[in-house]
Amino acid sequence: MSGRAIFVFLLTAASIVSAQNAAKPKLSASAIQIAMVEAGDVQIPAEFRYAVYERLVERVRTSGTFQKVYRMGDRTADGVPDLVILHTKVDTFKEGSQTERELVTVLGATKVDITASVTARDGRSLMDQKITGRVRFFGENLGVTNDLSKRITKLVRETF
Amino acid sequence: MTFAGAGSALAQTASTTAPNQKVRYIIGLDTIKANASGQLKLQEGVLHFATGKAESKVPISSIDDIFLGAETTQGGGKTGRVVKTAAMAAPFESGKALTILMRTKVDILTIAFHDPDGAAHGAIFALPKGQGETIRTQLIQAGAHSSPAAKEVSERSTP
Repeated sequence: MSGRAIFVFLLTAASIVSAQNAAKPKLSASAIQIAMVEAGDVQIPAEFRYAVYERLVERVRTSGTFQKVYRMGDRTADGVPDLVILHTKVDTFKEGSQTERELVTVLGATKVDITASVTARDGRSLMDQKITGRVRFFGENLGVTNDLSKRITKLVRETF
Repeated sequence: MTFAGAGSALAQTASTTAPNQKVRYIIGLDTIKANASGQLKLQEGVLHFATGKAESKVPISSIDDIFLGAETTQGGGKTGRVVKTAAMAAPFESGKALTILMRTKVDILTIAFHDPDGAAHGAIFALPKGQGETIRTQLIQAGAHSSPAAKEVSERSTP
């Protein structure tokens, strides 16, 4: 392949990548508020809901995507004009067993399906996606909250 | 985390309870490292959790709800975890027997509270079985709020 052909190929590839990036521009906001996990009609123990909420606050804060991360109910967030709100709603929850998981690898998984969405102050939807968190092999059932918050934070980081 | 701003709690009951020695903190208190073991006690209207290195205080008046759950988990703390990891290398998966020997039932105590700015927090602790209900009762007697829904959850939870 001649040098010219390689140059044309690289140029085409670069333009495709740049077109893809242009198709998904990152959103911008200086602050985010993490809402409490909504369970709806799904039976999920309170410790799972609060653990997801706490881990989300911790992880989104550590990610450095936003200048400020507010918790639900924080009155100091009222005056922030470009505040976005992260909502999480539990779709399904299956509590497994740590003992089963460790004895018989294929059984006892804990699984949570969640819909994560980000809205602006005016209610406009900026992100909406279903995410699944799992604990398959080792660790406590509450470990599922860690997996879930990691995935949600990654998604938020990719969006903002 | 000290919420001195919610000071009305300090004017509450001056009763002090004996500390629970083997409480494992899971998440929810900003100044304490996750999975740290420590003592949980009520003193002068404040819930204290102290490890050897750090202490966290939650005024009882700032508690919005108390949930009690249960879980079967691995006992033995950090030593148990190391022993079990080492046992994974044992022949014919005989190390799995440790999973049965080391399992233990714990109460999971979730305390939902707010700081002076109104921000919601949830502190989660694992206590030896039976101690969760004791702490919950003591907190309610000291003036902590707990909704009927939280009671239903605690009755439903099984290991």
